[in-house]
Amino acid sequence: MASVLRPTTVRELVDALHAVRDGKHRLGQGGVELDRSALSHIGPIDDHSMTIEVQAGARLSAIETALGAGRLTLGPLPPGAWAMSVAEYLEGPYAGLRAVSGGRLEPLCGRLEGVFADGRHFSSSPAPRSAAGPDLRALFLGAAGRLGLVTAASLRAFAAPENSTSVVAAFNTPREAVAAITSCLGHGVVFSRAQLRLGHPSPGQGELVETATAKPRTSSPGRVMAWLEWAGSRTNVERDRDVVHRAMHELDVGRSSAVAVEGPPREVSWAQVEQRLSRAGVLELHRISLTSVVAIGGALDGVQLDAPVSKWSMPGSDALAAGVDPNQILGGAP
Amino acid sequence: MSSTRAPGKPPRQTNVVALPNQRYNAHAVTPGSISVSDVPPPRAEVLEAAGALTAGTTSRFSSEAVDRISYARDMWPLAMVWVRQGRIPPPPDAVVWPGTEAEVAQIVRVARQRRIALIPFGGGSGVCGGTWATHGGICLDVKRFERIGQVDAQRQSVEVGAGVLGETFERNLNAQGYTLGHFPSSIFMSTVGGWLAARSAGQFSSKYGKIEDMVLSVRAVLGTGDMLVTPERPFSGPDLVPLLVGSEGTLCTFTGATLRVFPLPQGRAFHGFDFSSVGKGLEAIRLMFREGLRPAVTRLYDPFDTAMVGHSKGPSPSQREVVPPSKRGVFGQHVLPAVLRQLSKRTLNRPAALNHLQRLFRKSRLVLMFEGDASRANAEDRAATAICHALGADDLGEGPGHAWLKKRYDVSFRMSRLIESGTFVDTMEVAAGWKDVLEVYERVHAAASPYAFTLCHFSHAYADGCSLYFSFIGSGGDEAELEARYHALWKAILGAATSAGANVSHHHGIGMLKAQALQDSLGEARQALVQLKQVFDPDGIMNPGKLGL
Repeated sequence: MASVLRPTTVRELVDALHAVRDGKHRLGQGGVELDRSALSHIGPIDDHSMTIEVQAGARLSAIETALGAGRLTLGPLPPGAWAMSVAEYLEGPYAGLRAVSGGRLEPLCGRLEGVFADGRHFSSSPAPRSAAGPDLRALFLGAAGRLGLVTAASLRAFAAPENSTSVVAAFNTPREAVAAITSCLGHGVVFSRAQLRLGHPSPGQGELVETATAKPRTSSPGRVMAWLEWAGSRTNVERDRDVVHRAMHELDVGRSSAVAVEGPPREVSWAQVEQRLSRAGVLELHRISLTSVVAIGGALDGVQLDAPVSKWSMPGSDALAAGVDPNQILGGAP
Repeated sequence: MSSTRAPGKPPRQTNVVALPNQRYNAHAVTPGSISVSDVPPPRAEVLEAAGALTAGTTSRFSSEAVDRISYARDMWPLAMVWVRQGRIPPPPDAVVWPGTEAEVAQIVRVARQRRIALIPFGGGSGVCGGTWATHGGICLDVKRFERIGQVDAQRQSVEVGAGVLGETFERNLNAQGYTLGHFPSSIFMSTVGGWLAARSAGQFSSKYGKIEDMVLSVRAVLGTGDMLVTPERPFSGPDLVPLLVGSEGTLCTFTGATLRVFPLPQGRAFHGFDFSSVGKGLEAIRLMFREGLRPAVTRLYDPFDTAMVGHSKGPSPSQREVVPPSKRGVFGQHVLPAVLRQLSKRTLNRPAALNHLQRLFRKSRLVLMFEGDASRANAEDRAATAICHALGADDLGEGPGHAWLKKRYDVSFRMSRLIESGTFVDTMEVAAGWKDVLEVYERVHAAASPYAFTLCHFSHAYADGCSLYFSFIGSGGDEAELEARYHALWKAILGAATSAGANVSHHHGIGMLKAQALQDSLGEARQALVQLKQVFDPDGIMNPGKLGL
């Protein structure tokens, strides 16, 4: 029967790591599990910098509720993220990333606190950006807790949106659709969500609804319908509307809504989005950046985000794990 | 640089200069006339390795004194002071110019076998001593990695070699209809590899991000000799890019990267405002970013900097073209510098009084530039204007923005002139969250006041904070006092900045100058940096002495 270590303080977490080391155990293997759910403190909020201090076990949904009282939000995270703890989102396959203006990805956390396998503490600077040597937060983000364990973080928030809007646009090919969306991202639009569908929608099927004004230019079999949503302050939404309208040749504003799409979330590139659309089906997109998106719907390539990774694909990461945690107290590289 | 020394004049004794946590040799040469005969001979083990380093490759190797002097220093202002005094930093034993990744790997393998230090070198534009050969060894110049690929329009990315100079790269991208959006002040002499090594930022970073925000993938040769190409997202596992970017040559040599590019902006909107205080100006920037605005340029000058910016008439004809001292007449070469030295001593020798005078000034100027989609840039400008007006700012129209853009690279050239006139000049760039920014400003100002005349501007803004860029000008009764004051200044200002909540560097990097401050700020996590070093550079040959490693 697996023994579960459930520290309530960072000091207890360090003691637990020492006990694992002394017992020659490995976390996650050989029957020793670590539960950080008791490290669940949320707050305070720094309204000036729009950040919130949280512990590793706090749930993102609870943090979002706390931020809401200060008219802040963590922003448009993928739907599966809200049930996750801070540690799960930062250390897991999501790697703690959020999409920001300019089509960029950046860590959801500014400052990060953690402990290494030998119990030493890590705390990064609260400064927004740095050139002070390598960014050691990378030892924690997306590393599945195998190089270090997150204990707390300062999460970056946005001002709560005053307004949101959406468009439906038609494109002759998947490539056209991707080009238009990425063009908007490059101009600074941050889409909170999108759905892309190949072919004509069937009325009443509950998928993307084509309205009277969103007529296809051709009856191309590769035609794609795109539903795109964004939010922000009233003036921001209007500024973005102007950019989006010019990027989309045929559209209808605000009459359609997205519908539920099933499937495991995967991080995919835009090339993979295009390939998938060329085959068939509907894709729902989240955390939409120029670099990659989180996609839901059907058989997709890419990195599955709701399951542990069986083998890291980043070259050199196995050697890194062996160097940072030579006794594999944190489990070693998968 | 002259190749001769005045007849009969003996070389000076080698000096030993103490920096925080560092001791290294400065080789004395003739003031104003650095001679290749002053340079100590290269170590025998490096000369013996030359054949193995270059065997069967296109790599070029030099142990000529003139090359070694050229690579002995970067643009650390301390080195510029030393040159004025007739000293040079310790030169490397040799310089090598590989042309392929396999050749870099061969050099690393040979250096590992023979325990020879390697110092990756781009343009030498760093300002913290990051390429000084404190342990001797070989400068590994990557300028032959000069390929610029075709922009992949679909992916908005481009592959580029580490040795490509910034301005050359941007010009090439412009011809293809794109921009990188990365405009460091050093753009004419810094390379892509240097940007990666030191986590560079450009003047338009508020919109386009720092270099680490632009990197999709890097190509590097590790200190193990292994070649590494990081995958683009999506991938699984820890991201090695943030661990290598900013490592300043201590873990790897960058050979290339795939970077994000953007279509050339279709429009720009400029605006200048005067605020009644620094605090109000900062509040305006903070509110802009909270609102979602992303100006490409956000520069708020403190009151005295505002007074100087406001009254600057642009470069004089003599400032537009820098004439080296050796080509100036007697007046320019001897009389004018002597007068300026006396003048600077009398004024800058009492910096506290000068800094006190700054209290006479109040207004703080903000320069904004938006670019990209023309209508969006104008809309963002209107939204920013509304914020500034609400905070009572005086609207100065487009003029200040245009003026800044025209002269944005001039300051680096002015520094050389000031140092030549007998002062020290240096800059410190740190970053802090919004709630700490004013405190950092006040504390650094107070800490610097006994040592140097101090100016500051705030730039590189983000939703959660911004960078503070301090400029310091100081002097001393003699060169020894000046240098002691310089070191005391750095100790004071780094301590003041970090104790008020700032980090150690926003975009200049660490090198030797801030190595102790970095180690202090890491606390227990410094062991993680040591472990990284052991993983990627097990023999400790990569740029030893930098980052405190």
